[in-house]
Amino acid sequence: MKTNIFALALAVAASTFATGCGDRFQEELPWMVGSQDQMDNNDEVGLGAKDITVLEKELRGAIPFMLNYSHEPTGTWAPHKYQYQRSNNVDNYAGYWTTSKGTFTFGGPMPSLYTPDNDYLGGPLDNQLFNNSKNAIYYAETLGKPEWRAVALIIQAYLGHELVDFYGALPFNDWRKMNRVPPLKWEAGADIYAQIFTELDEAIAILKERQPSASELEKIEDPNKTISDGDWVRWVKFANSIKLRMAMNIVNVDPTTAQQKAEEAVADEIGVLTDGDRDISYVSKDGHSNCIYQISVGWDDVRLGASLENILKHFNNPLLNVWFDGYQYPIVEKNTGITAEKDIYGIRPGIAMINTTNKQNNYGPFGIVHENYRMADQPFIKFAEVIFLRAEGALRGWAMGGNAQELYEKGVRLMFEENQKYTTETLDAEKYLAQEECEVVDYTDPLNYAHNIKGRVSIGVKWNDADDDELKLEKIITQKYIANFPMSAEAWTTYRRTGYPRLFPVYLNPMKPDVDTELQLRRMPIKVTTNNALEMAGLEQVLGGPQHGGTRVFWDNSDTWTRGEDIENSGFPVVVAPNNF
Amino acid sequence: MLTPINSFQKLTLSAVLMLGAGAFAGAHAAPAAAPAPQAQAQASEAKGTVLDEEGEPMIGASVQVVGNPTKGAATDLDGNFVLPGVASGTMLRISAVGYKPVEVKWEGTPISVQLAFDSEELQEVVVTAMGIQREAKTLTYATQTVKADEVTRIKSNNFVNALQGKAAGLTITPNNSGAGGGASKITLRGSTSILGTNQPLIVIDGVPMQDGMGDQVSADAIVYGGTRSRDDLLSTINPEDIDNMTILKGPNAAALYGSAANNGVIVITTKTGASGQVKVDISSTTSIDRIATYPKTQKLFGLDADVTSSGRLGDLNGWGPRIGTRSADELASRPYLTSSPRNASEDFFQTGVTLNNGITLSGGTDLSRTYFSYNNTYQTGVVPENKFLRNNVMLKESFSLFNKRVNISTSLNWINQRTDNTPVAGRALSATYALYRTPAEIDMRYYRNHYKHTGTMADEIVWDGTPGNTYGNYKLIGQPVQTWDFDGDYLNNPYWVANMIKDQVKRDRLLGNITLGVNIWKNLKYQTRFSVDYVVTNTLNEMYANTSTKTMHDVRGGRYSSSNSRSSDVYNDHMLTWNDRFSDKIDVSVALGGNFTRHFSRSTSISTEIDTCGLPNAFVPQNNKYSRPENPNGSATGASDSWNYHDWSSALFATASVGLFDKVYVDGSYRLEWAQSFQQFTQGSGYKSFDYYSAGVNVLLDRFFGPVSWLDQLKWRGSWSVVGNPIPNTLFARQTYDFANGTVSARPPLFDDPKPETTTAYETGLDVWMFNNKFNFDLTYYNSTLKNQFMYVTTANGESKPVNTGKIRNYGLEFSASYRWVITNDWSWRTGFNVAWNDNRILETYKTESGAPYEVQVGPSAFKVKYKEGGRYGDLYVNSFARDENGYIKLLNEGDYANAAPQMATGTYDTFVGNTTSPVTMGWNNTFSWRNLTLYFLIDGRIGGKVMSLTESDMDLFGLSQRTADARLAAMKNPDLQAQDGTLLMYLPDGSGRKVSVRKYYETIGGWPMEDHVYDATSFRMRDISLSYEFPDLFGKSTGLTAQFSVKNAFFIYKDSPVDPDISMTASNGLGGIDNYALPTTRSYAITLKLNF
Repeated sequence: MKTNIFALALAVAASTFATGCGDRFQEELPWMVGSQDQMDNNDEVGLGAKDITVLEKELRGAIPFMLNYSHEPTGTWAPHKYQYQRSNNVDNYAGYWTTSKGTFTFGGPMPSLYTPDNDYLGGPLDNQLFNNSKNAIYYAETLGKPEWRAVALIIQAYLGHELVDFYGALPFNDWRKMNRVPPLKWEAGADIYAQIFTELDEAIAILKERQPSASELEKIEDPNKTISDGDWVRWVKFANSIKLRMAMNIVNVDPTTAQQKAEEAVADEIGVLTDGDRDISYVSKDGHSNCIYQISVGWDDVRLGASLENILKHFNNPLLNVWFDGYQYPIVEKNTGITAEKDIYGIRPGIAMINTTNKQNNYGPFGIVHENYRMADQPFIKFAEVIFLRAEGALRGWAMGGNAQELYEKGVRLMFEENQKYTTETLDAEKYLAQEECEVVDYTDPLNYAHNIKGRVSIGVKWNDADDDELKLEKIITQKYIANFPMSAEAWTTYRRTGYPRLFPVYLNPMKPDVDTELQLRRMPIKVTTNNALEMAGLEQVLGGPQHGGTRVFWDNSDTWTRGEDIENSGFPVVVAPNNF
Repeated sequence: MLTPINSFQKLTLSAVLMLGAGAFAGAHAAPAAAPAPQAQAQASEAKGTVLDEEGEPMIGASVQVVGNPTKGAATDLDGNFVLPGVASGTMLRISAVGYKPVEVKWEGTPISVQLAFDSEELQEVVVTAMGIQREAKTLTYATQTVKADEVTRIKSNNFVNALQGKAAGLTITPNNSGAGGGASKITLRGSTSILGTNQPLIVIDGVPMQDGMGDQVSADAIVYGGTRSRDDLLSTINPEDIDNMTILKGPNAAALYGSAANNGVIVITTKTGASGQVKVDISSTTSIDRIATYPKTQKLFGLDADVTSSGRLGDLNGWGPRIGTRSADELASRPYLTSSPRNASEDFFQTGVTLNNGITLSGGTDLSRTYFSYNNTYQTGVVPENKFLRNNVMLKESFSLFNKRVNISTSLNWINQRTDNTPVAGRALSATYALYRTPAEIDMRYYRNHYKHTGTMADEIVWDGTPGNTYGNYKLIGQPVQTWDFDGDYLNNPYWVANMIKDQVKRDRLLGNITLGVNIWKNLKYQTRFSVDYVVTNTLNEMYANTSTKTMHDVRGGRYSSSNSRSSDVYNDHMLTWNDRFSDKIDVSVALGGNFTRHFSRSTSISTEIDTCGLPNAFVPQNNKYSRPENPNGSATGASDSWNYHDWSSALFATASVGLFDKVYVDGSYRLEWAQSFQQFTQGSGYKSFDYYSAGVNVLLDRFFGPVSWLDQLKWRGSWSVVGNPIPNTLFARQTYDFANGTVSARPPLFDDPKPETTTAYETGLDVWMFNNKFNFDLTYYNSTLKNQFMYVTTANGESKPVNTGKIRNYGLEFSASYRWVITNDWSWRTGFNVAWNDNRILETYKTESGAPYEVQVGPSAFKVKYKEGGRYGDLYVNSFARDENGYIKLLNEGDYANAAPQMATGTYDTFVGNTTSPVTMGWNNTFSWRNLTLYFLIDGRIGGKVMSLTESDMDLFGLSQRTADARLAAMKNPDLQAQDGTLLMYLPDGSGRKVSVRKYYETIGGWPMEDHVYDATSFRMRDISLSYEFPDLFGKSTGLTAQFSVKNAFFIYKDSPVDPDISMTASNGLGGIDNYALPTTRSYAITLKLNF
């Protein structure tokens, strides 16, 4: 008996240990790529470097990150991302929107726009696009599809140049290489611009040679989120349009290159966006509303900006009522108790925001996104921008395939045409274009008169050949500002380059003295923390100045800032705009 | 005069006791008291003397024949007894209340027995790792045993809470989550792990349990709200089933468990059936829970809103006019306005009731024993509609076969529980949010019966007036609609939240265990255990239309979600043990074995946003059959399945203990462990394993000096161990497909050289027993360092990379002492005191490859918990005032009194405000007995540490804190503090003499917590008081009834913060001591009846 028990015990023990360890590997989740026994734990590159179908899927995931509207392929809800990337920073700087809240449950406090070190200042620095397109840059050619390198170069050019415009410098090549080990090599904006110009040419050449078919393009573009509509030519037009935009950005520092690049882009056999082309944009096909609608109406986080409100009212532009709406709650001035007329109001940038917003209190009833604009397209580069860029080029005497007036008027007409779909009212471009003079409208904050400010835009719409170039430019830029809504990155860049449109300065400026209130923010400072100190170390050197909001990016040439104007009837001239010519 | 006990006699007794308990492992083979003569059938008159611990005659001790309880006698005034007709060789059982019973064999010669106090721990057998039992005096590390009566004296739904204040170095922080109790955070000797667990391992009857921690409120959700802290599996155990718990405090004690032993172990032994006549215990507790302290708000100022306007009033705040100054018309315009201030919380919270009833049956023979228990708990919370129900059934059977060579014991435990409407913590969807924000001018009683009405076109939610009826839903005509005049983010009528959001969690748990023990040969034994823990959980959540999850009525047609999860844990071990004593000098005890755990789980969930397309408030997923062409959130029905999750670990282990001359004991253990999480890194190189070990020594110093009359034992011990905790069993550095669009993510950063989190610990201590074992104390020093902390760090290009890094050390002192004093035969006093001091230091953090130190930050945008080199675990940082070079607070719009506001620093969280962990914790318990009446109380306390209240910062923001009212009152009385436009001003608290509007000031500092909202957590509280009376032999021999009245959480002796410093909304790491609209603490009064026969 004793032996039996012992034997039994041994048998039990032996059988258990024979299977003592379970399956060596974990249950494979079907949505994971590769398998555990394939994964090389020393190889950081990923499967896209070996497998073209994976590379294509990676690239497909990269494209929506050019500007994260609501297309993030993974995880968290994109409107939050958009708030970081645009809504709580650049959209405000451009005067299109004003953040109507001082604190955010996620993201933290931003009691006024120029609050130093708020969490949104680093918001646009999202490099997921670079990570996801790394294999396309380095391995697409080896794997037999150089066209994917071309696409990757174009999307990196788009995001790269905008980030240079925001911050003045970028670790462009370190990001591209996915360098995870600090320090990062910050590169000067001018160098990155030069590199991008070359790479755009390379991309255009590859695409012209390879001419990927619609079915090929579908491998890298979701049909619901396509910018090419299956036509490779649109990728070339996108590349040329970026090139044209970048060319104009450097016009003050390098007019020769600017002209050369702009003319190349327009003269290219495929060229920039032209008549009949739809914008380089996502069309809301899959029931997703424009994320700014959620941010404005759903969360009450932004309201119409005072500058856009003022400019639209100044020109009697009907788009005010097409794009915007307001809640039907009375707005009562804080000190006088006067109830404001029913209208669509914008919020002055940089006022102190303390409380959260709701629909009826405080700034709640100010301008929100109109219901009809809810499903609006989400653009990357608009045709309207291209036309106005050409108008400006023509004004500068470049070969832009048209004269300045033609292109200017075409741009204004397009602005009305393309927004007609959002309203049943007829938008009459000709009547608008005929306005020779427009009344200067002062901005009134119906909730608090302390924020009132004199109107600054005095120009009319009608083209007048007798105007000097400066005034013509202001007309072009100011109408572009409206037509190109909601492209705030371009608007802010152009404002800093030309001084147009005349945007209202912030009411409170906690970034003083680094940032002059009238000159406004010149670049976005980046929050330096213990953890990123090393990554930030090389920034100031290539920036050529301190890492604050008053330092100018490379194309923002201060030599041209010579003109003074009397604003606010202060009796003395204040620098507000450069001489552009 | 104290009489030293003959140690020989004592050893004999203890050996007898050990055998009686069926224990093995005794470091001593029992030296027979006398050669046992052959049993004689001849009956004689048994007689003898029973002495108490002091050697005085014991009066009234009971002497019974084992197996024949009807035959017995009691000792007389001289401690003598006479029991006629007892055959030689018969076992006699001698017992007395408060003393350990003793069984002796009647051999024909008069017996002299000295009884020992029941609380005697010196010779106690302690259940150590892997269920190995050791004599307390042979241990080389600190342990503490808690007996059943401590667990059930003042019952909590979660039995672990009974350990509060009972053991040095043990901190229990219960989640304040309403009826059902939720999980408790258990910390032994401080926290070290940031992402992993800091909970000790829980072992029930030798089987390590998954802690089964349900979802806990995360850092973001503390601020945001919307989620509930769920319970854990530990809390489902019936306290009545627990026989004792042993706390193995440090990793040294727990090294044999290897993994997960980082944080110590709590070993729970459940009751088993006793042989002999059937014993029945019935216990019944009824308790009522009342709010101990209501949140305090000012009662001077009311709502800042034009109450006579039509429609909603907007934000809830106290920035309005003085209460009592409104006109009769104004008062009449809203039914809930009152001119006599009220406290909304007092009007809202109700009395909670807990009913706990249970029965246990046990009995059997020498060869087969049965234990059965049933317990029912029903609780209603202080928030209306919050309910909890639990049924526990336990059946245990043990058999002895083949002349007791084979012992088999089985147990089956079924737990069925249901929790309804666990209150939400934080802002969104919590009843407390609107409640605490309600100014005293509003009479919450109005809303008790007016929180809803039937929807008509007059309701905004039905017709909201914006173009496209963006947030309205015409289908809500005839449906319940919230009656509530206030909106702002997250604001709902508290009664609506309580009644119209139905949340239910149902759980069934089956826990089965079979243990087979075989005495193979002499002292060589084999044991195997096999256990299965199967848990099924269902949750259901129904939210009625026009609830606001954030903005006004954003739930347009109702919201439904349901989830099911199941998990199985299988455990199996095999162990050979051998122990012997050589030459009556050397004790050897060895155990070898292996164990094996497997975990399987899978969960599915489905949720539906019932918007305008379906039928409102029909809570089924098919209510979204219709397309939603313009829904901003895409698909209305979401479903997910976690996929199969498997995990396993296996280990081989060995442990040995050698005792020399009964004076010195040396032990060591070794464990070789495989965990699945590491195998993904082993392409082509076999299985990856890690090993853990410990070693210890103890010296019974008293044996070296020879007998000292007042010293019973002086033990010095020291031990060292290395244990680990594997990385999470997830797949690292893998690219994934996105279901929506077929994209593939880039490859995430690799996990270079993954290792277990490893704790190296040293401890040393003194264990001293004096004055005839009346007084003992234990002093321990420990030092425990965790390295290879598992964390995610941000790479230079912003990705998240898993690393093993850093060093966090806890070291400290623990002292515990107990004393018992038998004052007279009627009076006795027992007391225990414990105090622990712990210091935590982050010695090293992650270094980037270029050597820069990395600072881990956890937390929402309101505050951060920073893990910095040189700092402590859980250091709290906030944003404070932005100051100029003179240290003055920066003002925006200076001079413009209507608009000027102080400027806060943002985004940097540079202001250190303390740590929520108190370095010193203590407990003091006392038991006074007078005859059958017992008074017990427990005081516990903490010194140092902080508690932060986001509620208080909101009270400032909304003008509801007392200081906002005081500042306004002061300004009203002082013309210097009134601006021309009537704005009430105050001086900035920076000595600059500048003035700022009271409202702007508090609205600015109240937006997020700053240093003003952090309070000292030092506090002492009367944790428990109980008074019980025992009616012995009430219904005949050995049937007793005990009646008890008790108060839990009786009162604070000292407290400095406006909230309970032990507040916990979550068991998540580093987030204790943070309050954001948490439920107030409750005090319970209970009556318990225990009947046994």
